[in-house]
Amino acid sequence: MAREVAIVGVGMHPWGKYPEKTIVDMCVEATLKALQDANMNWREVGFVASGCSPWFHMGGLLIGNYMPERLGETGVPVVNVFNACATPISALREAYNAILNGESDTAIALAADKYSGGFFVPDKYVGPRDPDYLRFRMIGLTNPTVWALWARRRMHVVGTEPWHFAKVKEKNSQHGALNPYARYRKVFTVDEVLNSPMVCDPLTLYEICATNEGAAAVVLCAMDKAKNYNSKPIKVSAAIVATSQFGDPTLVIPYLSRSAKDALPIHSEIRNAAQRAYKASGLKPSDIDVVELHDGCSYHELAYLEAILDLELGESDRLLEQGATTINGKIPVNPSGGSSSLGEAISAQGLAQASEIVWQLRGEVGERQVKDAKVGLGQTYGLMGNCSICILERAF
Amino acid sequence: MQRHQKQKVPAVEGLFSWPSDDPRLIVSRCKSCKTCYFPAVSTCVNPECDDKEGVEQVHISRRGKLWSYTIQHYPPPQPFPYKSKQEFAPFAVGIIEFAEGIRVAGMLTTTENLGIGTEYEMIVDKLDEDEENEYLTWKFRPTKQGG
Repeated sequence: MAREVAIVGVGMHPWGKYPEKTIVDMCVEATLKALQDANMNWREVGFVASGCSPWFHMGGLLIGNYMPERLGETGVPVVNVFNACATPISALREAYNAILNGESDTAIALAADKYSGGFFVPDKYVGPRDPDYLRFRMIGLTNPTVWALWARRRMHVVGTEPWHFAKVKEKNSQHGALNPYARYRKVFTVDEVLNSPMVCDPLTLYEICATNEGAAAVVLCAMDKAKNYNSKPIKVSAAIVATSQFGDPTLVIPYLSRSAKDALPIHSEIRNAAQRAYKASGLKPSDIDVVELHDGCSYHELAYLEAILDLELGESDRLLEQGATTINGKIPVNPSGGSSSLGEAISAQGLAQASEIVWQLRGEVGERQVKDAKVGLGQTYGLMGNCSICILERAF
Repeated sequence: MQRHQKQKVPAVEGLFSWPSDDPRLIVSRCKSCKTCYFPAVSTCVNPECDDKEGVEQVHISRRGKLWSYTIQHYPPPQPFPYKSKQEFAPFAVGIIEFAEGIRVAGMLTTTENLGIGTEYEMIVDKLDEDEENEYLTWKFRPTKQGG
């Protein structure tokens, strides 16, 4: 019988702008909160997996190594991982696997980011033939530009209307208003969203999430030791990464072209990760009670939900119209308010999702509580066709 | 004082044939499975293809059909040519599907009457300039049938 792994503590630094704090300061705060939530002492942590934030060099790339430096030099093994926006759940996966394979009985996954400067720009080291340079230099192809190309195609194929994109924002703003960790807590109406400045037709300003700062940490242990730390353990049923596949028509960022073979449905990396996560957990889409997904813009919430739950193209629009994705709906999506309300702290977002799901499964989120949630799924998509998914289950 | 004529050069070499009266995008085509890649690459990434014969560089058709589009209302960051918000004019970006089985992204020459499925042709047009050169990129323009 394979070992089971539990989450026994989570902690978040609120999402927002904190010029007075370093990335390490924010990460330490989240880590101490998570340890306190787990009733665990830093000395008991047997493995550290940290998500890297590449924009901050040492402080961001070796963030895991700053934890022993700040909290106690115990000799704990530390790994720092980067997987673009799939980074945080990749760190969770490292911590999970360290316990699963018996390397340690306890572990912590942590991540932080402070990139709140707007558009991403190409790395100066990649050289002129790199697609990430070419897309900006030759076309002006930003991330939201590509999302808009996907969104327009969806409108053509399944009949999504600009109203649907605006409705996603309205819904997430209602959820985010209830979340004390969210940076944006104002409720917007569909009309206000549609009337906000156009960024990349059909996507308006309020439909695109802002880059942001935040930090989060998740404390894990072997399930048979979980009750020593927390009376409400949450089982990690899957922590998975997958990439996109040839034959998927999605123009993957940062590339300039794609084969028109159309042998697979769009967003294959998400379908691949979801299928692997269902296989690992022995669960199926209908078992999922709450979803935290990566809403870089409103388009993503519609398209990604279909890929995660293996729905027909266009079905998310119907769910949205019926109110099924609200907190009180049939399949609540982003009860935290999502990246739309938190803003996106790239390298930490997936651990904010994991924290939200843990609180939901414990029944600790008050007004934004999804009734009787037992199983939750978190998903982030990373640049170059990388997707990470975790499935968490109530284990008490 | 006479000013010398600026040279027209690709902003990045090797992406389209130039100088040419009939410029085309340069792609790699797999000799086995015929999959095309832009920009040109050194290997075929189709996992079902053994790629025994390698890839060859070819020019693709000038004309293709619009597969998706957007209008960019904010100036993109550099290295795209810098424009302040005041001098920036919205422009369209599209994905064109070519008969060779490849879809390629590029700027469109117009923001008017955009429609998926209409016919466009590749042209070479100015991106920006410095003291010596005018730098060129590829764009897609509606054909008479398409426009």
